[in-house]
Amino acid sequence: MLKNYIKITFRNLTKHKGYSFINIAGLSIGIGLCLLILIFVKHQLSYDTFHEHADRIVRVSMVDEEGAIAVTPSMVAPTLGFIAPEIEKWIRLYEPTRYSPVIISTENEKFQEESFLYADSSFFDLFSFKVIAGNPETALQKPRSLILTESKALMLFGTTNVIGNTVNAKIFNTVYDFEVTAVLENIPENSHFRFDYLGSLHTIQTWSQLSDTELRSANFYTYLLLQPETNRNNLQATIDKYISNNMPEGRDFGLTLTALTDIYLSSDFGAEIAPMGSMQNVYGFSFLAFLILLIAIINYINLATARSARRGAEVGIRKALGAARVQLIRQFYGESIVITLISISISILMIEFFKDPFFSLMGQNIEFSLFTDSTVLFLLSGIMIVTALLAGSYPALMLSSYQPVKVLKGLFDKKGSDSILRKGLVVFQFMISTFLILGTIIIYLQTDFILNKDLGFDKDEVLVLPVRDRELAPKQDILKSEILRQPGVLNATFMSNIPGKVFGGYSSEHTPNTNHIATRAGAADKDLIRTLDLELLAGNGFPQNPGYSKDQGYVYLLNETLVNAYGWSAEEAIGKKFNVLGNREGEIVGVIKDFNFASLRENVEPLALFMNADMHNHLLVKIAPDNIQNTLTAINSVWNEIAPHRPFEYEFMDQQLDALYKSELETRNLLILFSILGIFIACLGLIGLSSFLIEKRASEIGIRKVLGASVSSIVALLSTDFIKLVAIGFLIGSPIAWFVMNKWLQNFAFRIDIGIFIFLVTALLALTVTLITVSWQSIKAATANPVKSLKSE
Amino acid sequence: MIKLSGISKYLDKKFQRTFILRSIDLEIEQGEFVSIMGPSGAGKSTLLNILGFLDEPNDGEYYFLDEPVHNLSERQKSEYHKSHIGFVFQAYHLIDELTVYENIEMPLLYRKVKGKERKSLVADMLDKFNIVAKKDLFPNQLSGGQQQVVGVARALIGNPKLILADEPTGNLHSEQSEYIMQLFKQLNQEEGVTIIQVTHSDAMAAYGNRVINLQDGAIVTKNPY
Repeated sequence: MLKNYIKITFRNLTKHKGYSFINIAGLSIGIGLCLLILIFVKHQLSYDTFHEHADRIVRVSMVDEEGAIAVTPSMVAPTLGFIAPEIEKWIRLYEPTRYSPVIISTENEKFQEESFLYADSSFFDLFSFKVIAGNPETALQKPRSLILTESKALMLFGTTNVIGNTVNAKIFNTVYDFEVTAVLENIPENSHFRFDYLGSLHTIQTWSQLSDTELRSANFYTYLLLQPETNRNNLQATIDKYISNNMPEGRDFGLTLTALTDIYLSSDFGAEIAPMGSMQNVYGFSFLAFLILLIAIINYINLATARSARRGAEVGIRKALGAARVQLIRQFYGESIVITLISISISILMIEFFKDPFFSLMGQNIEFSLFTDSTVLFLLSGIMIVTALLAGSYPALMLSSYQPVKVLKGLFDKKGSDSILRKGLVVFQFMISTFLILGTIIIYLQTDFILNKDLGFDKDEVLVLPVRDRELAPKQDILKSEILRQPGVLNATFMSNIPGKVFGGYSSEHTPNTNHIATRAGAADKDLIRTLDLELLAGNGFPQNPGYSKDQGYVYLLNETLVNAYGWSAEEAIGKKFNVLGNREGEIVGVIKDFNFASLRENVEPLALFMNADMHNHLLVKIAPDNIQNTLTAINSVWNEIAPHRPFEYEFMDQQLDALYKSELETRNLLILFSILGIFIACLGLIGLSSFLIEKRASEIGIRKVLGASVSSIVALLSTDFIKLVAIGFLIGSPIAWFVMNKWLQNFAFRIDIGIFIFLVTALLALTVTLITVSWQSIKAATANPVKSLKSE
Repeated sequence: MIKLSGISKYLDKKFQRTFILRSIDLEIEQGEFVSIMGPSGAGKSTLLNILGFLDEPNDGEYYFLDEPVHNLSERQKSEYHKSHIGFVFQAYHLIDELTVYENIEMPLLYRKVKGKERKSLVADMLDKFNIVAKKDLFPNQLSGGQQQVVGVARALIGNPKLILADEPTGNLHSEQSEYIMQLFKQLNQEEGVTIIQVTHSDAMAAYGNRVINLQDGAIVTKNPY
């Protein structure tokens, strides 16, 4: 019997090639996409679960008037360990590369490294990173101990057999000789923090912060290992009580605990140790992948209903020959299982080919193996069961229930429940397609808007060179003037912070008043306005005489928002006394037009810029747009001459700014892919459906032609039905898309309007695609010789 | 074998009830060869379908081998289909995707007959009807008459007590028709199979030993033609 089913399935498949192609192509794409997304979801959910004590580790974050940040002051960890016995171990991580790169030197080469961490010696009591060489128990006990990852050991020494080797590292302005005490396997992708170098925190023994007895700068990521079965609410209560007993009146300070495995997907803390994921993406992407699969499943169901007249006859015969309903249900499910299996095999091939480009489109680097990874196999069988059950449900449950006499005599209700189901499903498919098209267009326009918006300053062809370095400090001016002398260099300015990265948050005051206003602030030099092409609204700007230093009194450039916050006009502000952080007395010398120094998700905040040569962390160099390569070479040679102790590394500011929208760009790419595939599958279904339905009406078309109908009137007749369905799908889908996308746009302070135009374009697009798809079949039918179709009756 | 009393079939449309069959009383004994005749729309096929459990009457009682059919479950009906009743259709109703061999074999699959036995039964049938050479062909590669021979072979393979044939020769020319009718007659006389056929043709009806005339859903005594 089983053989018979399989035989008939395959003969059906090969006999109706177009139909099989539509089903299998749609399902393979749907299944492939679903599986890739599920693998992505699994990867996202697996973050930090590989640590043996993952369920007992929490991270401490700090909450104060500026919001919640992932870092805490140094004394938090030891203090908590002291007051709460349920804390078994604690560690602090400190990341110098957050502020400036670390320079690692070997005999021949220098490397500018971006991922260096310091940790307390109990690191491995909490975290279970795999150790290749060395003893993790003792690896971080001594000062100047360093743990390398496998790839860095290979990069520096060409081997992992490096215990006892010396690594020379320049961190901020101090050079250390570290002894390598252990080598780790490369940090897994699914760790919320990753590093290449791990030094012992004791190395910086003289650093007063380590033995702080008061709350100072929040620089440390604090993790706690709790006793098994610790009640976290009780622990939180203990902490809150301690804080309220010991904190001076009026200070807004709190600590909050986050479970290790929740950090990656739920963190919205500032100053995170690395970019985090979002649950929103996990849900969103899984939902979209399921929608695509659903479109493919609907194709299967729709084509099955379209063919039900034919298959119905088979059901009738089988019933007359003694088939019980269960046997027929089994047969039709068997068919959907066979088709699903074929689709799965094809989708596995597709995944093998496309997984890497797909994941890089998502900005992910996910390793998996389809055949050995048990969860992947589990997911695969899950998808198979869902697909086969859903797709097979209509033929299995509906067809098998027909009374044989009806199906044998072809007594199908032509306008019956079948065609309502079919129409409903087509409407649903095009509702999804509308949603996808609209979503894609809106995301595309918004990202395009963000990337091309006039930010109020010139971000193109601006090089950013990191220069925070004690050795370099006395030579800063020479460096700048030498660079300025190179052909192709137009302007240059030092800045403490660069647009797109965070400016420090302070409070500012106008001295006679005690009116404090939260203000972002940073340092720049006299060439700022020229280099970034800012617009000066009032005042003369920073003093241009080279002899100026902050000791003569601070000078301030304020942006419009800040001036408005004080209630002044631009002109009124000039000459007023001003102060940031209470200890930088000075005077306002200029008001600049607002520019977007942070991401466009946020409104422009009050900003004050002042001059302070001690805070020159970056050199911004504006170069001419032509011969960029020559200019870079010239700057490189200047750099090597003046700062031979550091490799020449630079970034372009526009690229740095674009990186702010990495996740939006990834979402955009993925959505474009999803909509193309979704629409493709839906159109395949439409082709199949229209060809079946038109075939059914062949004799009607023949009769109409014999009676004198023109080809175009027949094409119109056949196409209208489908266009109606697509139109209804559009009408239902567009408000949903409008609602969802409007919500998404709320993420941005600067956003596009969803105009009627976008809907018109989408409607036009959907209509055109439908017309092309359907008319192909209708024209074929309309131009056929009527004698043929009438004869076949 | 078959006993109908007061069987009616009707369609309700808004305020009008259209009768297809009007309280039919009928008894058919085992071993009869009955022809149901009547003009188009008289209800012949409906009657046949009801006899074969393919359709259900709206009213009346139907006893098959003294078993009340109106009380049978779907499962029991398919049991009878398997073991007692064979169908032959005007449009042959072979399954297009299966070969001649496989079409004939199918009823045996539903009866869960073992592979070896199946093989020999099908081989007997092919032999009996002289279609061994065509066993691997698909239905659309055969002529109408040949397809109907396969249809009959399929109906017979289950060794049914009753064959229901709905205009079995309706799509065939006279030579083929005669061949099929000879087959039926032979089955009826030699193997005692009860046969009920629907036909328009007196010539075909002549092969049987009893004629039932239907007109407007009721049994009439005189030949309505």
